[in-house]
Amino acid sequence: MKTVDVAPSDTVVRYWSDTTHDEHCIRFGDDAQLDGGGVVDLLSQHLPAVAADLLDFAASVYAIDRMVRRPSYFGYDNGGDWARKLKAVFPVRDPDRWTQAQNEVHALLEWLTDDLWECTFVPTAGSGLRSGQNYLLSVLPNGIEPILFSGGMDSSAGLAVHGQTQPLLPVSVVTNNHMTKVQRDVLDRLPGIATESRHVRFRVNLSRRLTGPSGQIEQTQRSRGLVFLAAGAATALTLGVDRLWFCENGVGAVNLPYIRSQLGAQATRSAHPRTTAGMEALLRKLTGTRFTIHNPLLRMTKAEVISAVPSEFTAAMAASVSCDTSFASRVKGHPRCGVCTSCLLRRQAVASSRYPQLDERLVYREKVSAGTEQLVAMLWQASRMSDALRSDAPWPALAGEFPTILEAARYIPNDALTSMFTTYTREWPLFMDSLGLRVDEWFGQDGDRTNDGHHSG
Amino acid sequence: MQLSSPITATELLAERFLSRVAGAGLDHMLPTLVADGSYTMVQLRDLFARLSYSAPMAELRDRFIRHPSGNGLRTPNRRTAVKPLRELVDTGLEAL
Repeated sequence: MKTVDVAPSDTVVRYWSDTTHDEHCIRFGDDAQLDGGGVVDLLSQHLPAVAADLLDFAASVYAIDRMVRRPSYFGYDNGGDWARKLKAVFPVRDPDRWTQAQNEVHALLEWLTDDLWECTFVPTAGSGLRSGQNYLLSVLPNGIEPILFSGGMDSSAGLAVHGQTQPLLPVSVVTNNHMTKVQRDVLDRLPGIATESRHVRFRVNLSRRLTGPSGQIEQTQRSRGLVFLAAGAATALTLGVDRLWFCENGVGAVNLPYIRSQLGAQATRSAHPRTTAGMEALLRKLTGTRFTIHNPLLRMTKAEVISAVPSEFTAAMAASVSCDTSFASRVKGHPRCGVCTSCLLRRQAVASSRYPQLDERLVYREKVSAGTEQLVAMLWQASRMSDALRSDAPWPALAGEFPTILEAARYIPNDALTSMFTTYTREWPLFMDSLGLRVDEWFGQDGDRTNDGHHSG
Repeated sequence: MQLSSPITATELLAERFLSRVAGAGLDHMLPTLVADGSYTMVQLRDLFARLSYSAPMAELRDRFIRHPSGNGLRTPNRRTAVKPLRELVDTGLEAL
């Protein structure tokens, strides 16, 4: 496959942190690879400068985020010292423009990672990438827009549901070959909507020198979503369109903490509406024009998303992977774990969707039971939601129990959030029944079973 | 509770803050306690609720209002008066 380093090979990003005071650096092309072959093959010989800068910047932030250990993973143990102070100098092709966007950069990074960032921008010493030239754009349908595609259930469903009426170009970021295979398997099962030959894929890899012998120094990777968004935005800018599709169900996007000891970005904010709004603001500042990141699934539960998929595309949904650990697993065949919160949410959603048999052939690495801590945490959240939503004033009660929902309420009306989480809590008993769990032992005698939880699509 | 006076508002705010801190600590233990079968979730919900509205929490709230920065703040003393032997023998463990 024809590949190219999107970042110039001599780009060096320097950074400091409050935990590693010495200056450190990342050398692109050596320590970190950002392979834009997917773009070059499909769209353009060269990216627009702002798109190339965006990719370099996001990949650099991701590398720094992985290389600086947080003082404590559970910040609550030591008085909330989960956050880091990070300072970095980014070589870019248009430093004036990036310097003007410094407030937007800091706002986005601090929201995503909980860290304090001090970013400065200097002219790149590298040869840089020239402005875009038309390449194979003519083979793409008119009006095509990019859609972020991970190979997970929601992005696959987004393609299946909306790709029928709007030409969509899947954009992926991959870190290993199995991820590539899963994405290809899903696209192969979406005939007439997407094909592997029209799939923009970025590959991001960090060297072992940077990440340590275990493969990663810091595991939280809160900036990973930034790379994904940057890849989509860079593709949109190269296509010359001002809209990017980002499909994530509302419960997952808002991502309320399961337990009250999860603080701030410990519950990931990758798909949160404030994150996409922050990215929109940054792009507006960098390009001087309006840019929209569109999530059509934002008011739906995952079960509702699955139910909305036309029946001819269920094989694509079954081929998608939602597991947090499957891609990195070294077990032959990369089986899903079955017990991470992503696996459990998928299992809950499939059970109450109109396709309850969707995953019946899957074999999981671990068995889920009442002793599965992740399940306990999810049910604890659902039971507290259920209590709040059955009160006389559901919205104030929900906001009182989950104060971080107020961040989402800036972008989604209160009644839509109330309705979505009510639906979500009513979906749980079906999955619990399938596990042999008694709802009254988890939700109390008043547990909400006011409907059967099934979605007819 | 009505916000009928500044002190009511202060008490409410302090109570809410302490409830959040306590909730974080309690929730941290919850998955393990339920997963290992020590408690059901419903039992823990009752226990956590009782703890939130217990007398030591009310006293802690008053102390916190007097020390809002946290400097000098101490937890209320445990009031476990020594009981006579006969009373101890005749009392169930749960009631102690």
